[in-house]
Amino acid sequence: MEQRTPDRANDLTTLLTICRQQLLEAVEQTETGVLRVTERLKGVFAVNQARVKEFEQALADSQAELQRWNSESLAPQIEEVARTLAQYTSLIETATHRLEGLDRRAQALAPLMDRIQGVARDTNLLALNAAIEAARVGEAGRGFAVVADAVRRLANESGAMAQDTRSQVQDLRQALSADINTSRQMLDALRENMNASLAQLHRAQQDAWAHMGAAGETLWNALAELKSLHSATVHELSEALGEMQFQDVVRQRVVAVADVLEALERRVGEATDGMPAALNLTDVLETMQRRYVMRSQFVVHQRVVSAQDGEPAPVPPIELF
Amino acid sequence: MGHTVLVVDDSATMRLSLKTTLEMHQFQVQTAENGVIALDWFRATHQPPALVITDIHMPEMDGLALIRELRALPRGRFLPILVLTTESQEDYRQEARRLGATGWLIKPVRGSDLLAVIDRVLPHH
Repeated sequence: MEQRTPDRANDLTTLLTICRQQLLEAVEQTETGVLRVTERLKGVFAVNQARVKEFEQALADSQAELQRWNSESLAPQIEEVARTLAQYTSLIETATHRLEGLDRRAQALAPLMDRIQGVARDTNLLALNAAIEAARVGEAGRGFAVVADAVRRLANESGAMAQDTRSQVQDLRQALSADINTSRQMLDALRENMNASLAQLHRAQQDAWAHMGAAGETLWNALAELKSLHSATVHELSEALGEMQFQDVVRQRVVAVADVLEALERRVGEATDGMPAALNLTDVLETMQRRYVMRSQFVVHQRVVSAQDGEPAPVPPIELF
Repeated sequence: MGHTVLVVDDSATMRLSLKTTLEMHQFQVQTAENGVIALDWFRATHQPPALVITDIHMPEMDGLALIRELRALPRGRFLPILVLTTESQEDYRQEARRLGATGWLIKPVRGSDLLAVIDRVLPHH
């Protein structure tokens, strides 16, 4: 047996309520999902940005560290080596000058030895003459002959001592000359080595800087590339976030449909004179159309009730007044 | 951080997506769910926004009323106000224009398009 109208009306109300609530919950779920996705996108941006900043900071720190190492460690070490070498050079130079001074003074002794030998020779001759004269005067000159003989021996001894001294001075000068030569060779070798070592150190320093500069440039280029990638990511994320706005458009359209379903629920609940033929929904349709806020809503409505007026003119999506 | 932008929309997804997009481009963002909350914040803040982006259809106070109220305030008279709304009917657009809105954008708007419009209304940001 056919159901009575109130029961049928009750079923229809229930059906409409279910449809409306299903729609609203679906919108709510979409909103929750879109919010989660947006938070994820935000997370992608935050992670990317943090990486870029970390990289940039690490690069700046390492460059500062290199500069500090160069100014506080490498350069002072090179200066220290140069200073030490200069000190040794100066010491050897001073010693060489002193040796040269000694040699000059030893050389100055040679004329003195000549003079001493000359005096000894003259004294010897004088003593010989004195001995001849003493012999000539006979007994009376015997004492004088003894003195002359003693003077001659002294003269010979002086001459021998002078000769011995000359010989020792010559030995000394030979030794001094050898030392001076050694010192000069050391000095030359030291200067040559010092210059070569310092030049090598400076070259090493410059090479190190050049390598570090090249490495730094590579890293800065990598940073620029990373920033460029980050910008591209930000651009894509912005576009994606813009696309997410579809959810609000869908929400408004679904809520409008839910509002109509609610109006229908009320109308069905109020119907007492038979279902559904006696249900006049013209005013509901009119209200529905009046409350549209989107062109797309209007277009769908018109498509269904095609006898109505045409589509409204499209509005440009972006317009500055 | 750069200028502050006041974003007014009753949709949580719109508020979050706009806030995220703008913050990624160095803006500070203040959000409000409707015109009443936006207006209260605007009156109380010591750092007024450089730009307002508002929806039209909102509970409590809609976007058109918000534009009217902001234009009546000395600080809001020349403030750029962009309307970002669903593809509304022509009369809303005309009314927004009459009330002094700076521009009209239809959802969904791409991030690059939104930023290009902001570049035009805030050339020195």
